[in-house]
Amino acid sequence: VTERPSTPFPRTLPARFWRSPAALSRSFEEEVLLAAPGREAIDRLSGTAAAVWELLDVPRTLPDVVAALGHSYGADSATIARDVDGLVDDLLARGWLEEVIDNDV
Amino acid sequence: MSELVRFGELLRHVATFGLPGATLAPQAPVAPDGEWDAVLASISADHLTGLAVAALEAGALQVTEEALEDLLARHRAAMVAALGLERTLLELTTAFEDQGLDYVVLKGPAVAHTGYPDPSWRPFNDLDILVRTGDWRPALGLLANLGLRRRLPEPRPGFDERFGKAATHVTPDGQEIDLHRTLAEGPFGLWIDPNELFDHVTTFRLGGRRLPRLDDSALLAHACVHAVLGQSQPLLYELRDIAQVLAVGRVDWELIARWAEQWRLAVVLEHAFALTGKALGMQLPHEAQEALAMRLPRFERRVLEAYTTPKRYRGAVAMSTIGAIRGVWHKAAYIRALLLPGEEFLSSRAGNGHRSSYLLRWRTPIRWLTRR
Repeated sequence: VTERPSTPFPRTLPARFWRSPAALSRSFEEEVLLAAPGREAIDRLSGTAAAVWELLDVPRTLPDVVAALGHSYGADSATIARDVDGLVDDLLARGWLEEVIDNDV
Repeated sequence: MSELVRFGELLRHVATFGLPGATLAPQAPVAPDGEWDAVLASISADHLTGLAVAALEAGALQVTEEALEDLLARHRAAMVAALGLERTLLELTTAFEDQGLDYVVLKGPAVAHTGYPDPSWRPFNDLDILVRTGDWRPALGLLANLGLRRRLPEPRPGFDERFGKAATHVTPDGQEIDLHRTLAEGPFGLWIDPNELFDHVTTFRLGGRRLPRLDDSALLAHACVHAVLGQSQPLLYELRDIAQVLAVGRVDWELIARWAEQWRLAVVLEHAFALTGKALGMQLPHEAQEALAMRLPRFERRVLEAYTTPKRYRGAVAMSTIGAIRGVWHKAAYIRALLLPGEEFLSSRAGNGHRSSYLLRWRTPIRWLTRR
């Protein structure tokens, strides 16, 4: 009888996010313009939203994003985390960001 | 230094920003007093807003707060237009693929996303798509079915496939889409083998897809053809495209040398490199000089003059085309299409509310004959 190898407990990794590959974008002078096929509107990000977009050219967790912004802006992490949570939710809902499935990268 | 020289210097400074190998002064000339509106208009017309904004971000250009706001507003508008065109490109190319039509994306988006460090450096205001001559009619039909309107009908049936370069289409939103059969009008367009271009294709990423574009060698050849033959004087962004591909592209110089000879492009390439080197202060790679180390034929030189001198606007390209078309019957068909185009072409050419008549159309050839 061959013994089955034991299955390790699944590790819960923090969610990582990045830009949707389908998004068409242009970045300049601290602003970002976003468009996608089938969508009439072009969205414009500025300030923190544009900074979050720039950071998410590679997959990152929210704590990574908060840390990077805290480093750049020198602001209180709790306040930044609240802003980033809301922003990422909004950008996910609009389809500009995606949660990374491990096979994606 | 005169105001005019400073004006030109400033534009060239912007046009060379971030260009490897450019040798212009690192210090930006200052915009002449009270001339910013004119400078900005030229920057916009020359598609240089992206380079100007990038130069500002890098501290290589200084302008007043008010001028900065003007520049950003213009660049924002240019980027909104480019994104709108990319959205249309993704929709159109999906339709081409669904119909099984081979295509290649030319110029604008293809160059912006591959040649430049950031696509925002290279605005564009239309799309250019190359199809095989054999797919020309199905591609025209597809664009019509998608609601695009051809701006100018062909002069006579079959003219496009035999002598035409491209057909400009307009979307219901007013975006301009050029469907290309070859890369240039007139003699050089006839000498280029457009089908061979499909053997020199690679891809670029856009919106999560990979779209076909010309490889760097063909991209360079097209950039030169467009800059030199597209109008009598090239715009700075067209020369920057050439310089950019020369600086970062992987060019097969043996292939370029072959095209220079077989497609009779040597004079075009030589002229394009000379203009680029002069305007952007760029040293040409020695491979470019070697590839063109041939005696430039006098006939092609004369043909080039038809494109690059004021004779262009007096029908010289059409006259040269007659000389370049092989066979009496083909020449006759070309002349007939020019002199006796269909009624639909004639009225479109005349424009809304203007008279259309053969006599008006014959003014130019009559002038040629009466001068002799």
